[in-house]
Amino acid sequence: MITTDIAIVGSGPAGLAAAIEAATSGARVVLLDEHLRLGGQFFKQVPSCFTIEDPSRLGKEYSVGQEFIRLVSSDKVDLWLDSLVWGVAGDRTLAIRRGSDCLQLKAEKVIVATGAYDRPVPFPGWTLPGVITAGAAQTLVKNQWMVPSGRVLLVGSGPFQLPVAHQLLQGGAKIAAVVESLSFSGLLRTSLGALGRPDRGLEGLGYWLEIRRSGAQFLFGHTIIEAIGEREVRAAVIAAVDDAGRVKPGSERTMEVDTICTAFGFLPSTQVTSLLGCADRFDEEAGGFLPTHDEYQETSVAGVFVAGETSGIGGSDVALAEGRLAAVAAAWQFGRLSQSDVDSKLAAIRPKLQAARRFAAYLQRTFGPKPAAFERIPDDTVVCRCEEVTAGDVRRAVLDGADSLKAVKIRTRAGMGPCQGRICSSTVATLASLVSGKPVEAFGAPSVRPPVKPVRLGALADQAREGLRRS
Amino acid sequence: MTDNGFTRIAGGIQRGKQFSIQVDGQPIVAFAGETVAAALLASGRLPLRHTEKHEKPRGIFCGMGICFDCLMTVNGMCNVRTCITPAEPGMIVTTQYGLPGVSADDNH
Repeated sequence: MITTDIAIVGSGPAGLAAAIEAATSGARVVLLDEHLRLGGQFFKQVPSCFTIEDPSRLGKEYSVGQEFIRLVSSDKVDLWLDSLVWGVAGDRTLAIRRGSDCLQLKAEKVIVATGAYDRPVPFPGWTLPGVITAGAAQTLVKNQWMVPSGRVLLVGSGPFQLPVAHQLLQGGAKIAAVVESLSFSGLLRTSLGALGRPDRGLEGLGYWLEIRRSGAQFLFGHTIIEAIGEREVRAAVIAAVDDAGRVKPGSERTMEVDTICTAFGFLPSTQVTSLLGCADRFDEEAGGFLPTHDEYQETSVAGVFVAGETSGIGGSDVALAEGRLAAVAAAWQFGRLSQSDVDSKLAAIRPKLQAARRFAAYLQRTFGPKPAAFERIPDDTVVCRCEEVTAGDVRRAVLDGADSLKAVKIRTRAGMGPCQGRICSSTVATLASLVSGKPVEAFGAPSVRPPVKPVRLGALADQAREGLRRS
Repeated sequence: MTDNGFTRIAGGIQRGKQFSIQVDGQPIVAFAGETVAAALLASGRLPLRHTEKHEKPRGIFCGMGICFDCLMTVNGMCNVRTCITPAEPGMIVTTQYGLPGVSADDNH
């Protein structure tokens, strides 16, 4: 077993900020990431074999990310890439697959910064090749430098569609339409909430102008009803929706498109905090259970902190501040920082964090899928992509008496596949709530089992043999 | 006429060196730094696997290694997430129909 002072899981904005702050306190720091490059999904870095002629084209996140990566690489941070935390082996002891080896890392403090992923909202045809998340589209354009060859439809709710549309246009893609389910009047009604961040409002307006100038339609108050195709997407049915997200009858129309990018917001990745035993609470606006934490980002488990999207969707500004805050608190508990150091650091971080959280809360309140989006999912639509469980299977299980996500999983296998319910569990919980009339939280949090992502048996066996030799 | 593939952005970038990988016996072009799934998309191919129960095609979806819809067999290793696996010269990639290691006939 390897030991360290502070282990940080995830190298996105929160993890990088935490690692840089923790290292300045003189603590031994291990920064882990499952992927091959630092930066996570927000600071998405290009592969090391690519040479970018004009990095400014990649947007400011890219250069900000590069600066963070430079700082973390020159500091006393042990970087573990290709390192998946797949389980928990004891108090603050992480079970890790690093490359093709399995090992354990025991840390005095653990900061979980595992980020988030695109929130899936099923509709007929959403499993067809050619329907991808907006996050996937962004990775393909920013990391792999490729764009869809045909006509693109962006659909969903929330500001993330805009930069993705911008990046696709910059890459030469042809966007047929950007479809936002919030109505224009709905956006105006709520826009007071955005006054705290006029810069973000202007940024959005700039994207909107660019999209319109490209010849693409920009439809407020509309959403996707169906993706059509046999082997691949060839068209989409879109329709107007009211403020409750219900389809206005007769407004359906078919658009010929080749790629559909869905952007319905994000869900936090909470598998590692669940395995560590951190208490959680149901968050109505997040649509799921989030780990609870105190004002220092410490969870219910002493020495385990949470930062960034894992603690609730807040965006990169919240993530950077929470990462620093968690690291300051962890180093303080360690006796690495004096009270006055801590006070001055916290005074610098907290106002920024509060402002960023206010703006994030406005976005959460304003956008995001309405229950009607789930109510209209036909019974024969697959909701659990791994196990091919349909909406009807889930509804029948609940009507037959399944009263928790666990019970639905046992009856239908929804959530039992390799993705471990990341894709389906929020949908299953919403369907269960709608069909039973009980609140979503009554069905409990999804159960998390190690390995949180598949690990080869051979790698585990090697670790077991190694352990036997040592004992 | 549908065009579901992806196109490599031409200007502003130098990719790694060009090589070929074999997908179901056919050579396709890849550049160092590209993932297996991205090289397939650029070759015009979207379906990456076929499901066990409904025998439906699936393609890249999340693009970040969490949804497991891009699983293929790579150099004899099954269930590899091609969206996060870099392509390497001479790689042998094959499509999975249903669950690998289990004959589809045993399940129907």
